[in-house]
Parts: sequence; C-alpha cells; structure tokens
Amino acid sequence: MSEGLMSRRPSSPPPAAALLPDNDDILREILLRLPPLPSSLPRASLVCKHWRRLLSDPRFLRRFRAFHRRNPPLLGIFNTAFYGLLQFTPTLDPPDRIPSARLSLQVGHGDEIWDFLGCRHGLALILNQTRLELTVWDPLAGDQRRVPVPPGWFRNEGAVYNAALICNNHLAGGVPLEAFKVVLLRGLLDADHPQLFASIYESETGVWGDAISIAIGVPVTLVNPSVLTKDSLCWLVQEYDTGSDGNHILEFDLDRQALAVFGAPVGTEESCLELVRMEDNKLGLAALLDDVTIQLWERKAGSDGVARWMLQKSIKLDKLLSVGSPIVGTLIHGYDENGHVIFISTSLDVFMIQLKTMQFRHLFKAMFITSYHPYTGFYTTGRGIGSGDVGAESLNST
Amino acid sequence: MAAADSCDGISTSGGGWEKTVTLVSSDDARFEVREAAASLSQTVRRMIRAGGDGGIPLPKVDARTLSTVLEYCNKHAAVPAPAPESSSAEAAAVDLEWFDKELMHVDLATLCSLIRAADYLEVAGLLDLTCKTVADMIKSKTAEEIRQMFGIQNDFTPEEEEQLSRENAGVFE
Repeated sequence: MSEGLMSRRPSSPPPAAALLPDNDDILREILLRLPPLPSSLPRASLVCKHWRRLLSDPRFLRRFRAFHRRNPPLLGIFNTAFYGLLQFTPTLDPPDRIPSARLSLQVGHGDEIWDFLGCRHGLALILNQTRLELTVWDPLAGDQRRVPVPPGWFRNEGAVYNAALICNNHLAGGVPLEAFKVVLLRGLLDADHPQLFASIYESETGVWGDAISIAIGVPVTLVNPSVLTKDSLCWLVQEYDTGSDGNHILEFDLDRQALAVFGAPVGTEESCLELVRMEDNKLGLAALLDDVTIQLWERKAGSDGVARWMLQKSIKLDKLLSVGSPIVGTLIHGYDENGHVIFISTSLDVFMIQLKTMQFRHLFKAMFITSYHPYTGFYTTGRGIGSGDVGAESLNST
Repeated sequence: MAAADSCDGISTSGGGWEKTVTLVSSDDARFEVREAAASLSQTVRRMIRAGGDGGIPLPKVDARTLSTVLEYCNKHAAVPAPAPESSSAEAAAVDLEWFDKELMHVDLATLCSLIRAADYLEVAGLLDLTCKTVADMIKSKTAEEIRQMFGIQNDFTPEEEEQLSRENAGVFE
C-alpha cells in the first residue's frame, strides 16, 4: 500500500462560498441520482429557474429514465372494475402517492368487449374486441396510440386472444410511446387441429409482420399477462375440456420470431400458477400448491443444454405473513416483473411479497376478486400528467 | 513487478515492487502513488502515457482534496477482482461499501470540492459516489431547504411560484 505525503484529511473545511460547482454537467450528474420517485423532480424544479430548466430538458429526462431503468418505481396497480372502469390504486406513500382518479380510465362504452392485457415499460395495453383494435396507453402522459388488429384476425368464432407490448427504447430512456412493439396472439380452438398464431407489430413501421403458428393438439385458453424474459415473451396456457391436467407455457422468441410450447413443472397441475421472472431474466413460475404454500420454480438449462424446471424454493405463507387468523382462500392476483413482487390475497387481505428478500406489505382489503396489473413508470417534470377524464374522452372518440 | 526506470519505485507490503508516480497538487504538495491507483483517474492515466519528468501537475486540485481522492483510489485499486458470487467477493464488496460510506462523512463544502476534483480527474467511481451522496442529502428536502443548503437565490416571482405550486397540487396526494 503506498502512502501519500499527506495521508490524513485535515479538519478545517474550505470556505463555504460557491458550494455548487459552476458547471451544469456536474449539477446534472447530481440531479440524475435523485430517486426516481414521482415527487423527486417536481420538488427540485422549485429551487430556481436554472434547476427547472435543467430538469425539464428532454435530453436530461431521457438520461434520467435510462439511469434508473433497472428499478422503475412501482406506482400502483391497475385492475378492471365495474362499468368499463380501469381502476388505478396507488401503492406508494405520500408525497409520491398518485391519486387513483389521476390514472384511472373509463374504457370504451358499456356494450363493448375489451380486455386489459397488462403493463410494461410505462405503457398499458387494452384489446377492444368489439372495435378490433389495440390501444397502447401511456397513463402518465395521458397519451395513446391505436393499432387495428391485422386484417382477418377476428373473423373466427371460438378464437381466443392475448397480446403483450415492449418498448424498444426503454433501456435508452426513450419516451415509452415513441417506439414500441405489440405481439398479438390468437388461438383457434374449434378446428380439428387447434393452433396458436402470433404476429408482431412495430410502431416505427406501423406494419404487422407475417403470422407464425404452432400446433397445440388441444384447445387452450391464454391466461395472465405475459412475462418478458431475456429474449422471449411467455404466457401461461391452460387446456380446457380435455379432462387432463394441462398447464403449458407458450414462448415467443423475439429474436428468432418463433413459437414454442412446453409444460409446467410436474406436480403443479392442480395449482394456481403465475409466470415470474427470475435472476438474469430467466423464466420462473410461482405455483400456489395450497393455501399456505407457494413454490418458486426456475427454468434452467442443464449440463446437456436442455432447459428444465428446477424448484428454487418453497414459501410458507403462514410462517411469513403476520396475520392473526388462519390463512385460507389464498389467491395469486398478479406479478411485477421489474420488482420481482407477487400480489396475493388471503381472506381478501391483499399483500405484496418481494420474492427474493421475502419482504412483504399488507396493501388493502380487496373488494372483489380480480387480477392486478402492476404499473411502473417515471413521473417527470415537463409533461402534464394525464387525467382519467381526458383519457376516457379520447378512448371513447372514434 | 520491476520498477521502470522512468518511475519512482516503492516497496509494497508483499515485498514486491510496484510502479509509482508522483502527483503534484495546486499548492505544490507531492504525492507518491502506485500507478495502478493513480490510473483510476483517466486524466492522470493520459498524462502518464504522455510521459514527462518531475511529477504530474494537477493545478485544479489542492492537497487536502487530492489526499482524499487518493485515499479512494488506493482503496479501490487494491481490491483484486475476485470470482463473482464467491464469498470473498461479497466480503470485499461489503468492505468497499463501508469504506465509501466512511469517506463520505465530510461536510458539504468538502463534498463539493471532491465532486469537482473527481470530475476534473475523471475518477468515475468517485464522481458517482459523491454525486449520489449529494443527491441523497437533497432528496427529502424542500426547495427552500435546498436553496439554503447551497446558497441559491430564489429567482421565481411570487406569481410564478404560485403557478408552479398549482401545477404540482393535485398531482400527488
């Protein structure tokens, strides 16, 4: 170990004048490291005009989103409520708590059939089966794009649908809507040879790609929002009407644009399942075996290169959760792939559990049983926050 | 490792020899430092490559600040890259984290001098550490508290302030 001539730090501080370096690059480096919570940038913007200018610069905001891309804050959850309402429930505490009314959205008219297909990279995806279109919605910006489904895709009776979206530039801190992909799935079930189809839409070209398909042998339903792994989108696929035990995973390889189907772990046939994302963005699966047991599985390649399910851990909810009463009626409601957080309820008490640290939090008492779609995003200055009313108006207009 | 002719030599605790370089602060204090540590500064690394006698002059950094920067560089350069996921890697990471935390127990003026020095010397890790420390100091403060902290003048008119607080009102609960 080498020693400098002066290895101790003297105790007298330099004069306090001109504390902050007179250098915008350095000031930006500091502001970039503010936590990515909703109140951070608006509050710092109130310091002076100079700070406000720096903090509203789109280039700075892009860097801010890119810098914090690995841990976007979970702002809250969306669920579908009555009368076509997409309801937002904040999960952050004040001053970062965004009121429900700010992000809740009235979707479509009462007689329209629509599905909420989940959120990713700050965007939310809605499929309107009546109007044959997808809506990609940026709740924080109050902005949306509509994408008609590929011609001919909704002409079959007995078909099932699902879709997922990815924001192309989210690693670079892009504005979510500036470039995205949508992968649309269609399952044709009443044919002699049931098949699943997928097609991918690129917002930059505005074109749907050629449909690819895979034979599945049995009729299935496509359930749950997708999980984005290292290079695939995965959905849970459940057999029905077959009398057999059938949970499968449908994998859409984003690089090769190919579909594959493989089975869920043996022993989870009777369980409530939720796809999750494990370390290194590997596919995982949470299986609720009974009211108190969640198994966590990971899909790993063995030494022979073949991917298999490996049991990673068993979570005993009665040991983990400090609820006084017996744990009954446990359900899985959703999963946040960014925070690796699962949403469960027991006797309608809703908890979120971080699956690595096992930290948990009681959120609220559920009014009814529904799926929760976690919403993460960066609230930044320099853009208005979308109000539910405005969103509802533009969604309803034709 | 054998000391090169152009560099000073210094014995390391392991008994071997390592290349050292001499850095000269703005107030003419001389610091003899292992080249591996000094090279965490991209600015110094470039100057070592350029060559020259009589030490490397750093006219923008005073001795007091430079000694802290070098404390950081010595510690961070001393840690070899262990195999990831090993227990020693974890222990080394915990030790570094503790060291960094201790190093940041300084007043705001010192911290700002360190930011300027880390920026000028291009010590990326130290710039990140110091900027993060300042960001953590301001993250839960009100605008007025931040102004007082840095001696910033509030240049918003009362009307502008009112409008800004109206914009933020109702966004958050």
